[in-house]
Amino acid sequence: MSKILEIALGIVTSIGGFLDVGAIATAAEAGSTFGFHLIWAILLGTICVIFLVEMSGRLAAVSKHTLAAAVRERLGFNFFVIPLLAEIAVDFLVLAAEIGGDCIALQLITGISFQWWALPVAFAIWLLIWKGNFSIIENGVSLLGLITLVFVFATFKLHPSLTELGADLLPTLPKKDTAHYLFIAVSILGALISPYLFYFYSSGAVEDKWDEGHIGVNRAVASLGMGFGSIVSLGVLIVSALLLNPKGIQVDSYEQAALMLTQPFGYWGFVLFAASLGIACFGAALEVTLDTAYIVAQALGWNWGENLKQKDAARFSLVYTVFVFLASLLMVFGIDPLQLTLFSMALTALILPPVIVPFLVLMNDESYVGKHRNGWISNSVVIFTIALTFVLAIVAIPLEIIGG
Amino acid sequence: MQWIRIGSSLLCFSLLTACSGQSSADKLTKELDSVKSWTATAHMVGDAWIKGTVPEAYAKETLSKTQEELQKETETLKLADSAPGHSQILEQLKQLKDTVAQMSKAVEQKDQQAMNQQIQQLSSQEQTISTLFKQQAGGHE
Repeated sequence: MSKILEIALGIVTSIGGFLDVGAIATAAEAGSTFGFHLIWAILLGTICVIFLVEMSGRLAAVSKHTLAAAVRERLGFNFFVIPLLAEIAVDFLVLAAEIGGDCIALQLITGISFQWWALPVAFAIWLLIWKGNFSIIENGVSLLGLITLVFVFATFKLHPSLTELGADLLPTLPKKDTAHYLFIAVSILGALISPYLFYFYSSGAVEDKWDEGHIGVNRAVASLGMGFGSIVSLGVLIVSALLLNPKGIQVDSYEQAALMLTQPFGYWGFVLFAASLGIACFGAALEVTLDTAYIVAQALGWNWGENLKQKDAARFSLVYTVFVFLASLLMVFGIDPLQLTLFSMALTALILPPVIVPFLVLMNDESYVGKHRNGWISNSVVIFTIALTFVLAIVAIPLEIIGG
Repeated sequence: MQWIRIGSSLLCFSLLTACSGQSSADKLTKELDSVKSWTATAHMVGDAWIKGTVPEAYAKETLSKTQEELQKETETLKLADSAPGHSQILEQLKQLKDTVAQMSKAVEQKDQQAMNQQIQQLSSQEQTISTLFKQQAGGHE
């Protein structure tokens, strides 16, 4: 019975925690600019992330190692420095973008410019990590995140054509603006296949003391939780495609995206959009902040753990304290949150190979995962998606930058 | 080593495509899309404000952002070209900005009737500028 409850809670929190600033921004921009044409990117990213999250949980449950600690041990610190630095850099930008999402949500509700909210939001994130424990961060905020299901309700209310949706399950190039299309596809994939998710998930599994008995729970939570969670992302894209695209509105700023739910739900639609954005970004910001502290501490062999007292993991606590306030400064300086989000998501796609390849090495190493090694299907799906995402990123990012 | 070569070839290919591939018509279409997008945003915000589905502060902020974006487009277009018809587009853009400024004023004064009038004006200006842009883009092809 307790396993069923654990699975249920895991699935619910995965759905509630699925959306973050990247998923909202990329899906809203994709729907408003290209209609349903980028649905395939969400589906491909979801399939890949299901495999990767399942793998990181399996690694932790069987080897009792977090992903970062296992890579460092297996391939040496000198090798691990590359994915570590790449991940820290991307986490920094992603965290700034998540804080930006929160600030915009507060700006939408209060009318006070987002820059003023950056430090208070950073303080709130820090306070919750400082005072809270892993369970509150993992479950509490994610449960609140169920508010994002409003995008799914809006989708049902708008009755999209299933034939049109089905037609875009396979990739097709648009007639114009191919460079931007590829850039958004890369950003969607980067937003969904975020390395911080696997590092965080495996650290969480170790904090929760998972063992081989959790392999079934892990599989169910990863596949059902992430699978249903992606429906929320699809909801954002579909609502944006149905309501903003026909009017010619291309989401270049969050103010435009905020109009998305006003047609189906009136004033409450506006409030629900702001609340969804705020809660989704707050939950993700907590995870990214903790993730960075986890990987730094695990890479350098320091004490770590959200459930430990600060004095028992002082350097770990110092890392997240400094990191969250530094990231918030990007918002204080007034960097456009939506552009930063899209850019950091595309950059995430670029760092996937150095992060994922060592992960795959571990998942095929019997000394870490014993008889629970990867099968050919999981290896193939992950290699194919990461290679495709990386090649698309190499092509699309320069095109987007030069094309303005 | 082979991967590095493939990677750098792809990078060179994309840089070259980006530098050479964008025609003036493409650029103009991009500008038009942006102008249309922000004008449609102002339109939707105005409608939503009349219906009471968005707060006043949000409406004001978004309309002010629309003015800024239209100003940016005006500056980009000023630098871009001096073909015939170009000055007409700039004139229309100025009128669009004025209309959005009037919409902002209507929100401040809580004047729904004025907002309705400005929205109607915005619609007709949107059509005019769209036609002008299309003529210009056609001339560049």
